Amino acid sequence: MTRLLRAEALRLRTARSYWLLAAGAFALIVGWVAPTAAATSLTPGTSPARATLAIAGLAQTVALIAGVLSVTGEFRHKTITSAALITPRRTPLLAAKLVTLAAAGLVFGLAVTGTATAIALPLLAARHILTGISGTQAAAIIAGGGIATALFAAIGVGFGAIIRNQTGAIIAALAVLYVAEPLLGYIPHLGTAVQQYGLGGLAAATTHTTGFPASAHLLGQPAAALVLAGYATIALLTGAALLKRRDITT
Amino acid sequence: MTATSSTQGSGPVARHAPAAGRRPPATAGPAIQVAGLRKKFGRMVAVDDVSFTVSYGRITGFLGPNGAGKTTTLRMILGLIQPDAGTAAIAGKRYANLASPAQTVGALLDAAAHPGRTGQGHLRVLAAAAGLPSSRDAQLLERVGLADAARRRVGGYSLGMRQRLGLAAALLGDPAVLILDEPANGLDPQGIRWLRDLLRSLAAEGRAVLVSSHILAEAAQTVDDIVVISRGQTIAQAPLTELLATRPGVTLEDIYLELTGTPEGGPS
Repeated sequence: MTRLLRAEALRLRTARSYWLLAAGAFALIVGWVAPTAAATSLTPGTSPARATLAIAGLAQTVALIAGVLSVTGEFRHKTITSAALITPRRTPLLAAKLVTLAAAGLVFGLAVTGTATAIALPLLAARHILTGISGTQAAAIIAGGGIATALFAAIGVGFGAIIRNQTGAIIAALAVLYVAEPLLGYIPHLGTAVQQYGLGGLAAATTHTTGFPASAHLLGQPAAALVLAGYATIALLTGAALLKRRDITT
Repeated sequence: MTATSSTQGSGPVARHAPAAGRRPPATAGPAIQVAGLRKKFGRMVAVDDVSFTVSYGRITGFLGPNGAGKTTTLRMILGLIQPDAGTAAIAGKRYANLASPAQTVGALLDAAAHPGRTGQGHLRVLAAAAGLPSSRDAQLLERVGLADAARRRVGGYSLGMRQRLGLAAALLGDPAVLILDEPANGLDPQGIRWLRDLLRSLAAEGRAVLVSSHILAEAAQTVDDIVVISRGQTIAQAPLTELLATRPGVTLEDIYLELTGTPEGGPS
């Protein structure tokens, strides 16, 4: 397993696409958070600080896509063949990818959320907007950002193993996140469950930031992180089972 | 195994002894033993009944028309495709059960590498996964003639260069068994000459080399044994010299076309 982790870390480090994706997402988030913090107005019933920091949630979407890319890229570039030849046991192969992408996601999530917090809170304070976020709460937001991003990357790895077609897997992931969950949220009774257990609601709860209305019923931070970890485990086990069963013909 | 004759045993052509004792066979048994392999994709029978053996110290040419099932057979030997029936063993074991696969078998299947990675980077990732030191990459890139392109991205490589990189990857673990699917693809005449010499030297070191090919004139100059499959079935296995000795002046091409050309298929 050590050698597999070393190989995966090397794979990640030597592929330009991940660095570009991370740098692009970082620039996008910072470039979005700063003007928002400078211009946001007080709306009753919402926390301007938490709504501003919710922008950093883009890190989770990016991590989900990076996780998907890490597996589907192997099929797209046909490198899955050499990977499976060197490591015929496909479950450890996928597990190594999951651990590596989750570790990278943790670092990326901490960096993005930390930077966003360091920019947004002083800007809001300078405008005499009460953030209502203590030092401990800021730490919880940053830690939550790291954990949520790590878990989204892990879910992406499993998802990529289930849907091996790169474009198909990315579209499907975005469809769940931005179309299916919001639409299902409108259905009475079901809506609350979707907010609580859907990826969007779990990300908001884990990061302790929210784009959701204050009336939304979200899980607590630890509970939401545990549910996300459960989803990552299910995605990994399903992906590994399919990877084992399916022939590698390309 | 109706029309096949094993290269082992007491045929008229003696088995080559591995030269210079650099790599004696791990066991007395065959390097690769394939028995009754069968695979269906949906309704299409890709491989119906393929059986053959590959010996150490020899180059075995795996010949057959397009769609005969060569690539599917090679992928079944390598554990990438699960057969519906039959077995394939390398040094007596299923691929999945090999203790250190990269050090036992080297394979070139589709010469694929991530286009954004350098040739050297590609080998380093594979070496790390196989638990091998990364120090071998320079030496291997030298052996396949890619030393000058080591730090260039694979996306800029020609097909021939990717084949060479694939061969370097196959040799990474210094394996005693090599399985190469159409390695001459994309190589220029110099490259084909170089490949022939490389395969000869690998066999002379005592390694077993199984190489699929379409190019019969090339195969005739390179291989020691041939296995011919058609419509998913083995239709011949014999040492090349034995086949050529059946009639004066007969060529590998004549024999191949006789074996594969008739609609009934198979020799009488």
